[in-house]
Amino acid sequence: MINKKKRNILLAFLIPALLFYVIFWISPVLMSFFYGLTNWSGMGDYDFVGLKNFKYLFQEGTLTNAMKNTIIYAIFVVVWGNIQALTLALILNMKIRAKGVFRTIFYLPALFSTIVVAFLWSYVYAPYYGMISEVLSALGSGAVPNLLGSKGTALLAVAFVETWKTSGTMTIIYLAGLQGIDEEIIEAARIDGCSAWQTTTKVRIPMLANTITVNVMLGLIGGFKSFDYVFALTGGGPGSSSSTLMYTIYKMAFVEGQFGKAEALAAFAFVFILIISVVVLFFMRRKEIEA
Amino acid sequence: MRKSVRKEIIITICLALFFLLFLSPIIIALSGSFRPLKDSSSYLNLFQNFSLESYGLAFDKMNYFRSLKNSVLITFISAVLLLLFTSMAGYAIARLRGKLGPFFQIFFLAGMIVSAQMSIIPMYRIVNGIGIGNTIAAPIALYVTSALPFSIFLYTNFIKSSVPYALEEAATIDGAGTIRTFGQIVIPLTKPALTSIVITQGVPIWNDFFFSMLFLSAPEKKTLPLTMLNFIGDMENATQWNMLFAACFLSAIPILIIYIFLQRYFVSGLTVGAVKG
Amino acid sequence: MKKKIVSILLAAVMTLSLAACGSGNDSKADNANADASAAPAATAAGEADQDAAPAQDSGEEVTLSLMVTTRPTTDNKDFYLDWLPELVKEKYPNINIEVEQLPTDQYKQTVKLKFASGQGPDIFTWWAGLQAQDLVDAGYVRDMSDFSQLGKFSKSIADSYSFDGKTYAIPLGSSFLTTWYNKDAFTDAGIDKIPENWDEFLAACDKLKAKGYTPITMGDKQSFVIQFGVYQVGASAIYADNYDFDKQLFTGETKFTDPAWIDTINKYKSLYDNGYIIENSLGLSQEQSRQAYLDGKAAMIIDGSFGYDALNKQGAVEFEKGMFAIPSNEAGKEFVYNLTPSNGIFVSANSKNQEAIDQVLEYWFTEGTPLFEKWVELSSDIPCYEGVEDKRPLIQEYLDRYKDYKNIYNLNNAWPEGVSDMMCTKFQEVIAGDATAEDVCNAMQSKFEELTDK
Repeated sequence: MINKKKRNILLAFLIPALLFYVIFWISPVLMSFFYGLTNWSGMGDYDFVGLKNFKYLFQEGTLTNAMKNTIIYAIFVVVWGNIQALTLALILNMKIRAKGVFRTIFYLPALFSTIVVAFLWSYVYAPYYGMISEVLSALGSGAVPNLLGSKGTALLAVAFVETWKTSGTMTIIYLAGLQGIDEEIIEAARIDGCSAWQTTTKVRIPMLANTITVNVMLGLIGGFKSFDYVFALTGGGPGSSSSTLMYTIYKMAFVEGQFGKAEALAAFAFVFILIISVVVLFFMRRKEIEA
Repeated sequence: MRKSVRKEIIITICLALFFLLFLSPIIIALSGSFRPLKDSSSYLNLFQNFSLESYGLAFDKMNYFRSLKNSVLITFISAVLLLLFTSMAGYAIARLRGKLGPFFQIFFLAGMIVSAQMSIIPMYRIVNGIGIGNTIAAPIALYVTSALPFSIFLYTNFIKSSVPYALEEAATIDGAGTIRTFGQIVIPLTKPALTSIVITQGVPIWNDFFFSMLFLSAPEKKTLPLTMLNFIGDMENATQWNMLFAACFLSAIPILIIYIFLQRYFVSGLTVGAVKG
Repeated sequence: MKKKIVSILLAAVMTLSLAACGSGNDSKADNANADASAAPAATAAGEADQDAAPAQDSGEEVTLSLMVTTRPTTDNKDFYLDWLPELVKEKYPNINIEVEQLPTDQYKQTVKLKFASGQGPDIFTWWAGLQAQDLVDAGYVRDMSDFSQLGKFSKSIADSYSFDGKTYAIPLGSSFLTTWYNKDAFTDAGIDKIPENWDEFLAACDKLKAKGYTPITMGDKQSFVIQFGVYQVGASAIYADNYDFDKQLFTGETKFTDPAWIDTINKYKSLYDNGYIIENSLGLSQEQSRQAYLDGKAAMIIDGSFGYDALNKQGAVEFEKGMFAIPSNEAGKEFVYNLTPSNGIFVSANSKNQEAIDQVLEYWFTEGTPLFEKWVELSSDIPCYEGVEDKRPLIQEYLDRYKDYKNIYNLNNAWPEGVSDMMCTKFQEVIAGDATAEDVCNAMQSKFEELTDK
């Protein structure tokens, strides 16, 4: 009897969150899957076109290109972001007096708004008056770097900005993970004759498995959803070399006026991100257990 | 001992150099923001000039205090609602018996992979259909909602790992109802998780311009990041960079101040999810 | 004690959250209250100014929303942000105008979203021709055919907002795409007259290059500027022979893959192939490119009449400025230049404030009113209003020079939305060296077919 009452109260506790979540988050997604089967321009009437949107998406290569870019972007964010953050966390975990100060300033970029970060980096990358080009010319190099304007570098230049912004958060998470490791284990390893390098690679990092999973998943999902910096820094260009999934969806819906087709792509993106996230999570969890 | 001191000095210097490079965009922008408007000589000449002209102009253009007030209001209400909804739902999920708890946990977590860009037109229609379009309730509703998936995940895990069920049972035996148990035992014990939610979700809410851009058209409702949109043309215009940089710092100052004073909460807040999650 | 604080906090939180929900839902009621309390004041003001506002009998407070795209900041008062609300308020104390301005991309998105969900802005500016088609087809915008002042506007320009014989917007004027050039650099390079055909144009570029100048700067990172070049080149290359090319696209008689289009893209591409365009144009924004022109880093910039203020500023070096249309015609062949309607003023069809909107528009577009005078003074468009002349010498000279030639609108006015964007994206690939003219044309044609395949 008491249990039943408690259960009802608990269910009632769920209601506000569930209401918001279903109304503002889930139902728009379901509605957009529905629009994916239409030729709606975003305004006025529409007709059902079945799977025609998907046909065009495959035919013109938009989908392949957006997926490819998104995967590259996400991999860069995950790999580079984690290497950078883990290295720094390991260094900051040493007995250094100034580490508090370093930790404080390292987190600063995470506090800035994405639009401000985009402003700062558009200055850094600008080919004629920008920071990189001015540093190069101060060093006597005549080269005018064009990172956002070259097909080969635009995507990674944007992804780099993302890692710049998120590295503070990642590092702090790693630091917490490192501080959670029992010092006795490290001491024991040292007594067993492990070098500093060995204790790091063989003991500390494996014991961080759980933290690594968290950071990888955060980076991965952030990378898949990347939109802001692409939007502000390159507009998907040059050509469509830095068009990620979210940017392509946005552009299709609002620049080309093909909302139906954009939603078909969104449906695809949703399933794709879901599958990859689950697979990676599963893989990481297994690694954790092995470690 | 001396060797380790030398090692420490070397590492400290290397780190300092790395951070100088790492933060160089911020440093240069800070130096630029203190230049008078017309000074567009090389930005590498750091702090060669001191003037508040750019700040003054940016300050007016952003209508600073009004925007600040809007940002504070929206962020505050969003955070309060988020904490309330999250703690209630998270507690329920953690304590519901059978398959229901895990089901809801995954149901909410799946929302993390949804991005607003995917379904913005339906989202917009729903918000307007409810009748809250063009009021601050619209961005607030979406901020709360978009933060729910991660927050509930974090909170549920925290309860499972850090709130002993025995304590709640004891309270029940003492005659406390579920609501009282929740308010008097669970909430105080989960303060670290609540802090964490405020920090990890509050900062992005404070910084967001997407939802407020879509839903707040009246100038007097604009938030700080939204006023930054007025400068988007200047981003590409080298002659306006001083004012742009000043605007960047003006919009960041409130959160920088909060960070400096509440730093310890930021650090602990960020780590709760990671370690317990 | 501790327990007590928590429960108080919780209670506070709950009240606050309820208040928050309330403040959202109640805001309409709040507005109504505000209206009621403001009404007497408005009426009083209305009486004081009675002959200025004879239509003012109700005195009911109205707020009109107006949306415009962001324009460059100036030190002076802005027409839309400052003068318009101010002068309307003077004349009609009960009408408040709430102006929202957003950069072009966000602007398009927000306006469409607002309409899609049933709440479009009362008054807004939009683009001409087929770019407005979706709005018209969906029934979102009001038929302005019976607007009293419409007859004062040039018919040919007003017609670019006409669908099925109804005019849906008030034209703000016209503008043209053009090439701004540094007269001093031209003289220095020994170019004594404005090029009048394609070979002369290439020869001029060569001379500039030989003299050490970068001939042309472009901000191709913002891909829309590619339109400025392609549409100028296309004017003669496509429309001299077939003025109805765009109409025939819809019947299939012509295609983007026709020789005229391939020729257009190839001609424009050759400017890049020959190294006439500034290096790294793909990394430059429009503003950065304009700055490079003003600083004397390049002798020409392909831009438009709308850049008049921005491109007449003083840069790092001082020089005399001029404009000419890119002549893509072969020697002795017909020349066509670009002249196009600029944005028009549209009105939301389902706005509840049609009466107030009419009052504002009537006031705005009636000759001699203070608002009209300000509009004429500050507009960057070339006026198309009866009896109003453009006062900018460079523009007068330009229009005068080409007045005997045929002109063509911005080509994308005749295309479904999405084709021009495909063109720009693909041409960026051409600049990067990864695509050919044929690739651009094929992509445009297939996009066109996809968009017209309903």
